[in-house]
Amino acid sequence: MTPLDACRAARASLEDAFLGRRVPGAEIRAHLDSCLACREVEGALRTLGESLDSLPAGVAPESVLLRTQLAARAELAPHQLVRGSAGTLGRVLPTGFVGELLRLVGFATAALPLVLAWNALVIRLAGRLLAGFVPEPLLSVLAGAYLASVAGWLAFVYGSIPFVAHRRVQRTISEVTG
Amino acid sequence: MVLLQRGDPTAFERLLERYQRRLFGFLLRRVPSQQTEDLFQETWLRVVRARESFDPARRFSTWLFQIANNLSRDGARRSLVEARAQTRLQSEVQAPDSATVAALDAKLDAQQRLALLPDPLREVLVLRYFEDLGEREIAEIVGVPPGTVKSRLHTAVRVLRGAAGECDDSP
Repeated sequence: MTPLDACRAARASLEDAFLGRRVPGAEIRAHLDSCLACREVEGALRTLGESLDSLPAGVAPESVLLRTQLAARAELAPHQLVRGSAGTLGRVLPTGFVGELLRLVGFATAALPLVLAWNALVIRLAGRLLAGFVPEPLLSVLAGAYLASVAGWLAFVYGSIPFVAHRRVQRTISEVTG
Repeated sequence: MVLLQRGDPTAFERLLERYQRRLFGFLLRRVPSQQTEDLFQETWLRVVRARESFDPARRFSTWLFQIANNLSRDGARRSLVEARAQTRLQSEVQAPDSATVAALDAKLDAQQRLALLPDPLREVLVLRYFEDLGEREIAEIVGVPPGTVKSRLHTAVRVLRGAAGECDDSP
């Protein structure tokens, strides 16, 4: 081994020892005895170690612990409600599902009056436009068919909300855990 | 953790009690101090929210540090101050100058030196030196191969001792 290789190996070992908070082995010590440059590296690492070890250990303040506990309890509460009310179903639902479901149902319900008003307007205007040249019974059939298709679409949209909520919650969980 | 997954309400308190010191210490060295408390709380909330996805075959501490580290990365990305510090450090690393290094040594205490480390170097150093985790576990937490962890650890040590540009050919 050339002196260059010996120094390179010694410094890598010194760094390993530093990172593992270990004392360098006898082989490295022998090299250090004969190499001033590597002794300087060892000294620099010792100083660095003392400096890093002087950093405060850090304890979470009581207020932060309390705040964390309260926030966690609030997170756990809806889930426990689901477990209690739904039994086996609660055990298979992911955390946060109920909250997400309620949020999406809230959005969908808020939009419902607008959707109904729009469709009522469409039926009314279409009825006026077609009244002159479409017989009355056929108009009733057309209106009924339109209403049935709207009802079908609404059933599809509202029926898919639990699946959308489940998918969104699962995606959030996988993002969190990386 | 298994008890928490089963809905035991006291399980969270026990986990918090057991790991709060390690997590808080990790975050204290990992992110700017003004973010520590918020990230501490957020990490635990993520643990609660994602508890169903925890694999009991894994070590809880690895999973906990992984969540905390991911959040710390997001925090670091948002920190303009840190970005500036990194840019400054990079310019110093690229053009090593003994006077600059000596000045840095004199001016910066250990906390500041840690804060000036680029994020990929700081995360592995904190996990290895302060948390005493092995390279494989660190690799799992930060999501890189163990060889990359090892290389980053040595680079971090060299940067910290002010020898980032030191050539190994100068014994």
